[in-house]
Amino acid sequence: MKRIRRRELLKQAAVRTGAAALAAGAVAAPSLLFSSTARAASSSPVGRDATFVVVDGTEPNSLDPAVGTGPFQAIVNAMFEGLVQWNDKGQIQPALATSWTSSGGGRIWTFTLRSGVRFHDGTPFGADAVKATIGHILDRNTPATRRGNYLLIKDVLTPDEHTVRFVTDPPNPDFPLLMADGSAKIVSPAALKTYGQDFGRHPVGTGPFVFEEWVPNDHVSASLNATYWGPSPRVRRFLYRPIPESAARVVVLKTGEADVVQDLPPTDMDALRRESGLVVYATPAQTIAELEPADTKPPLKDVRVRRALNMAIDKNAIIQGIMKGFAKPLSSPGIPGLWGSFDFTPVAYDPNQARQLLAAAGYGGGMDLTINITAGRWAGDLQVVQAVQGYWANLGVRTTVHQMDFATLLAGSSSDPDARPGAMTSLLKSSPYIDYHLYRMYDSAATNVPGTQQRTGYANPEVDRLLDEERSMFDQAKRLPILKHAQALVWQDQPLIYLFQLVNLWGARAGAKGFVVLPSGDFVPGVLRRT
Amino acid sequence: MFRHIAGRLAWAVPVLLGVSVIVFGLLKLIPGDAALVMAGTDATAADVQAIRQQLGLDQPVYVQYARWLGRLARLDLGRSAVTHRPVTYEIASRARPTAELAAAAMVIAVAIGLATGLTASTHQHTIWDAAASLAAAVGVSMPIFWLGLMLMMVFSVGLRWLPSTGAGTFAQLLLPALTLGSASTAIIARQARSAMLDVLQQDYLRTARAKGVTRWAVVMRHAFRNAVIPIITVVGLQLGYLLSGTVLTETVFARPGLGRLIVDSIRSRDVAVVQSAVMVLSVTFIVVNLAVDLLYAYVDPRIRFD
Repeated sequence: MKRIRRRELLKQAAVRTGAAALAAGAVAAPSLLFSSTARAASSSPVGRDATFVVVDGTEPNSLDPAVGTGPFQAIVNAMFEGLVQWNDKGQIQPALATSWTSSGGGRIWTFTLRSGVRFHDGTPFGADAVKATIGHILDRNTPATRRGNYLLIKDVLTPDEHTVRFVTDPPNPDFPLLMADGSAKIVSPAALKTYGQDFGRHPVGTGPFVFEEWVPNDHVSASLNATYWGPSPRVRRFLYRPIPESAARVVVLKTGEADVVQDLPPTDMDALRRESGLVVYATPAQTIAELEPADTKPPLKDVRVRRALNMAIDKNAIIQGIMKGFAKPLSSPGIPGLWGSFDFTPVAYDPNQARQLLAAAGYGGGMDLTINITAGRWAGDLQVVQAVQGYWANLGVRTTVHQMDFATLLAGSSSDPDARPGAMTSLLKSSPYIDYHLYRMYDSAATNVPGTQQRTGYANPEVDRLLDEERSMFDQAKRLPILKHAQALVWQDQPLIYLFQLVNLWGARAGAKGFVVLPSGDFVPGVLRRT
Repeated sequence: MFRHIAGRLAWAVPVLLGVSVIVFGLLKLIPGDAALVMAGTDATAADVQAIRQQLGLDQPVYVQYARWLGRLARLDLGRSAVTHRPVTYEIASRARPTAELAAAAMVIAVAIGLATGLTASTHQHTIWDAAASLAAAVGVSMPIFWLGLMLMMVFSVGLRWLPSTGAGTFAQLLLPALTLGSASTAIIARQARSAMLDVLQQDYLRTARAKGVTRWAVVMRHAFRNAVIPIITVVGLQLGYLLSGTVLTETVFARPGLGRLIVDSIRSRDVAVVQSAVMVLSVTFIVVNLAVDLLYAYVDPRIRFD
């Protein structure tokens, strides 16, 4: 090889590096400086007057309503509608269906559909779209997380274009509530056919906004649906942005880069309340925090032990000290705020009585328990569990806290309860209606099913019988006393370690109007406007 | 020279294999089942078993590794368990924001780091030197999470000069790049200072000064050129830090990118995506360091052997 002089080498190196940098700059600079207006509008503090921005922490896994059931419902609700929908008072109201009735001993539900509605792709909305949506959810190739809830649908009949008839087995008085679920939103049958399993990337619904683009981990945008059947929002675009870091969510609320920010950290609420130009809210959630034990084997098989463990925790102190007041004590095995959920005498903090109960159950010398937890699922979760560990230590109970990832946690909580005596799992439970909650948490037909989360193995034949009875009643007034009786029995049994009910923490720019945030935490757009 | 390059290239192969073993092995060691994730919540045991067979998870680990390596060599990275899209698409769609961020942070680190280091070395024992040392100590110690949020509080919330989050525009790149580049800036500044101080004490520079060469020429032409080799080493190594730092920076500033893709995929047990994305970052790091190695030979005749 010919020896090149060092000076020349250095010169060449400099020239080449410079040229490479220039070339890279020439490619990169225009895209950096003049990137699409859509992107600039998404985040720059100026020039988005007509864009309504909602922020939460989670990137959607899919924009197919049947699959994408996570905490990013704002964007799904902007593009899709169901037959019926929840309002902020916990009632259901008409959406794509105008009325509904049951017949045939409750086995048949008939919905009358709104006429003159079109999907964003121009397909007319009608009975066949509803049938196609249910077929899509029940299709085993669709990774629909809530398919289990739809298995009661035995047939979908379409007697005419504007009537759809569901045949269910068993009969279910709560069927309209299922149709209000986020997963039951109606999708365009033509788009389903075109995109198949990729529909989640090409969502087509009937909602007030039409899908524009999805830039992964940055935003999903939708533009105003000019032919929307309902009252039109007063903004031109709708944008959902996932911002995983809660402190950064606080920042975009303060700077006005976002109109509505969900899932705010409790520690910032006081400071945010003092900020001008924005409003923050703490509204009761349909979510409870609890520890799910294995109830089939000692020590937790004994109701005295479970009662003692519940009694030994000063939940009010935890709510004030760790949750900063942003949680509510529970005195119900249901979810306070849901229709049919009843409150009972609270299990008051009493370490002395708890000690006596444990001694009576034969555990005066203490025992060993484990709590499995995925830390960071909600603000303060690990601290709360550590506080519980401390309260139980006062009874002589030795508690090990195991931290693990969520997939492993679920594998544990859905394993055979006989195989994990003394183990419990820290979980959140959200339920849209009372029977959904009571059945999966306390009916022995559901509490020991392989693969399900809440596998406590809890069984009380009387509770099973009462739940069966209320579930087949179509007179809501008659259901109430039975629901109350069933919950009273469960509350005596204390099958779970009840911590508290969570609170939705969210904030909005003072000028952002025309929407509701439901107790489920879902953002639902109405006549959106920004001033 | 060619032998040197060939030798370096040959060395990259076992390094890459080592990385692949670690990436594959770590994801095998941590608990969690990719087949369960893919199957969804209401899948039957038979469904899960079918997926396990389809993914080859029922095979011995060494067979799985060999097959994975084979697919890797053909750049067939499989599909994401969560989005069901090709992994190559998932990575390609995130690569650009990460490359922009790492490059911008590197430019900031090299520019500010060199300027600070050179100034400190030519003004040793002055207030400038002390200030540079202090700034470097602070820059190295500030965690990305904290610094990022502080910059947001000052420039986005307080002054309203720059957007706090997102990606796509130049303005949105500034704060994340400053955050990510701060520690590297400090390290490069320190390295530049000490390398320059070493060189500035050499006899030939005293001679140059005695000959009446201007101060600028002494520093830039005679001293800096000889100090550049240890600085290049540090710059090359910093790239590894910058690539790993994108994970945190992208999370704080809600930027799309490979770092966030990896974090999200680890959370959802999307093994194919994690393995491939980590491999891509590792290969980038190895390639850059290879380039740095070759650059030595190019810059310093003593290292070149032929």
